[in-house]
Amino acid sequence: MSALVLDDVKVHFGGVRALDGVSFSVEPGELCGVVGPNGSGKTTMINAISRATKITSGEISFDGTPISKVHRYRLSRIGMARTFQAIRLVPDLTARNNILLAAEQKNRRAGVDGARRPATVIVDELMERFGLDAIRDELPGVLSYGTQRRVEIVRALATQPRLLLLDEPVAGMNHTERGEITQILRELHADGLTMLIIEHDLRMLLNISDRLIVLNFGKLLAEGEPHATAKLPDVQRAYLGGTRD
Amino acid sequence: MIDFFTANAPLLRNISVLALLGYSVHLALRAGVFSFATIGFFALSGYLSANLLLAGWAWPVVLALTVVVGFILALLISPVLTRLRHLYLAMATLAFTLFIQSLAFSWDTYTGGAQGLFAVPRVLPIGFMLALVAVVVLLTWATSRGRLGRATAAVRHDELLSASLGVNTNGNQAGAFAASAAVGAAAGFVQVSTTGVFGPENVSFGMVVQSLTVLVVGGALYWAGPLVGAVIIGVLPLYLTNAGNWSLILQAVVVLLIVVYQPDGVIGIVKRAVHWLVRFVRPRSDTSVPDTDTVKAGER
Amino acid sequence: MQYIINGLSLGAIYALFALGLSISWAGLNILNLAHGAVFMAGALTAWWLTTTVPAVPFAVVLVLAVAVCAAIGLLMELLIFRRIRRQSTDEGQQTLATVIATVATSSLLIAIASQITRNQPQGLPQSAFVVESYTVWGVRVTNIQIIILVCAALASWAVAWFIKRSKQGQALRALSVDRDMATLLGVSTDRLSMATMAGAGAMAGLAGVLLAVQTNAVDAHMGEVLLFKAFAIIIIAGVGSIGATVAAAFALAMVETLVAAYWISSMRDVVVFALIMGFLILRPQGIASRAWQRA
Repeated sequence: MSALVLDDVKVHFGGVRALDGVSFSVEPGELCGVVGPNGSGKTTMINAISRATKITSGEISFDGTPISKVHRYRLSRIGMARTFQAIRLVPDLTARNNILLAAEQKNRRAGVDGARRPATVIVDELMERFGLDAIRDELPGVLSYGTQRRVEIVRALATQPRLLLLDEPVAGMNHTERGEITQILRELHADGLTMLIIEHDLRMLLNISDRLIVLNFGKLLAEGEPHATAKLPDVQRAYLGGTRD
Repeated sequence: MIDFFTANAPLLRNISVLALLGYSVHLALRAGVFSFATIGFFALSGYLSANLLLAGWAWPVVLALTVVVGFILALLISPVLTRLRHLYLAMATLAFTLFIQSLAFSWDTYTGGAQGLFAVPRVLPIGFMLALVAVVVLLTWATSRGRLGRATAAVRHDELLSASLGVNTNGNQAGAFAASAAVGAAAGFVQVSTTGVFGPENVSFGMVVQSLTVLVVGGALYWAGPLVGAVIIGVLPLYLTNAGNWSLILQAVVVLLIVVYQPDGVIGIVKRAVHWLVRFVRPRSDTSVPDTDTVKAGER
Repeated sequence: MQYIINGLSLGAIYALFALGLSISWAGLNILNLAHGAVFMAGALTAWWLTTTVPAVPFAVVLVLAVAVCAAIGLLMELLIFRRIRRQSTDEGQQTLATVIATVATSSLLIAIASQITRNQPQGLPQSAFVVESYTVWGVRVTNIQIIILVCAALASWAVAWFIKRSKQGQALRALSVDRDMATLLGVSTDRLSMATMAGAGAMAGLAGVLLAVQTNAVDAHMGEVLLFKAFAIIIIAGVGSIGATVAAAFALAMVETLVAAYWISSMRDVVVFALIMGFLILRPQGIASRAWQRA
């Protein structure tokens, strides 16, 4: 059973057709990259999946269950997490508390031995694993952009998701920061976490994706093996003559 | 000790009511709910309490009843809240309060119309009144920390984000609104059972202004804000007895200055002063202020 | 028929006042609870001018009073709203601070006015404005009513043109949707805010002077009652929609004039606030379906 299925999803705002009949599926454990020019509907798609935006027609299923009528806050409880294009950390809470906030919601599923681990344990483990120990008690405002993004991703992980949606995780980052985040995504992929990543940085996606989806004008333009798909003439044309850095 | 209380009873009563009103607004605000309905619930409870006390009901029962009624009524109204954004919510709750005020004028039988109700038995002992305030302060402090505190802060800042993390934002805000109504109702009860009167002057737009002033002066998002604000606003008139319009002018100017220049209120000013003092006395390279659970803080 | 004329001129004043409130809410996201106080300031300025310097022609009084109110609006933007915008961390806190600031400004203006008028309602001196009435088709129309209608018509038309046609008006609509985006597009948000607040102040002041002349009464609290009626008007009409606001203003004034004899003022208030709540619950975007402010 697919982890995520979009079935002819349309999102229309007034006269704007942000998504115009998109269908595809993501298999468990897959890392699916989504690219497309500005305005192609990438962010709308993530918003539709995470119920931040209403769908005009079509259906979205998560692990076989249709979710287009599910309350937003229930999604993380059934295993879906996301990050946002603009980093959204709660400014009044320390890095640790931002992550704890996520961990202590009713998302925790039983661990391997059947027992639920305390939220604090989950948080401490995650922060240690991803090198955030040093900045535990800092407020987001003093953290570097790359570190903030790392905290945001770790926060999403604290809900113990089975599907992680990422909206332009490396946007605006320098080379080093980009490398750090890419490494994290590789690790998560190796762990078996299903991921859907929207990005402008085609090269980064080509390096880590199992599959590539290309959107254009709200429609699915192409999908398939990343390198092959990226070389398709239609795709190249959509990007006005080449890959973007 | 008792002498102090009885001698200053009117002052303590003023401060208590102001504090409760301030907490009522605070509880809603810290969850991001722009509610000006506090005075509306204050009025409902005031008139209800007055009628019941006049009919001879025991005061603990009246207190419990008005608080519960306020709580439930607010829960019933809360689905509306979630659909309105900031200004529209402010407008709706303001309209609610003024609606109650206009009802108070016209529904004479229960409200005494323009004159209000009086000769209500003043049965609330000062000790209980202060204890009630203490309980509200304590509960506010307790819920500002830990899991609920973090969730509330998140909801206030960013509903979409909170929902994506699994926080039931509607439930959180409904609860905050209901708590706000309950405390507002408690304030109404205290007002009636300590002064013996309740009338349209208690339900005016001026009262709305008072409750907001108390909150803003103290520090809108701090758990101790309404208490500090109530003490300041309560004590101030003592020093401005014959000022008349000038005291109103002064109050307005103070609120303006705080809202524009020191939005964190008196507590914010004190916090900043202490922080600066600490740095002055013990200069260290690491000046970041550790924060574990302080949800209201603006320690930036 | 007489009632209709009276209703029209009252409606014109309501329309002027409500439009100012509407554009500051729709364009700048400001719930201006001081709008009524500015209205009163216009009336007060007119009173003060005519009582201190009786020889001043009415046209001058009008212009000066309007200028004073425009200045008040401008000062509010410069000293208060701009500072709050600059230093606020999130939308919620900014909105709260702005609302509280307008409340405090209102209290301040009213307290100052009470001090000046010595807590007594005042009347305009006879010399201020000579009321002449004409009888047209059996209906008595005063010159002040004509002036009111003309002023209101001009102002409404001007605002409508500004919002719909001018570049600044379009910029204002862009501003209300997304301030940051508007800045990126090159809109001078600060200047636009100043112009909007000054304009709103001017309209309030104009309405204030006209009403003061019509009813021959100036009182520190005269703006309060009108303020909430205006909120009812703009919410029912849809915040930001010019035509509907004007229509609703006239409708309310008509109903008030025609039914005045049968309504107790407190019942009227009950209805006004119930209407506001009802619309906000059921149809927050108002009657005009294409309001440019998201509810």
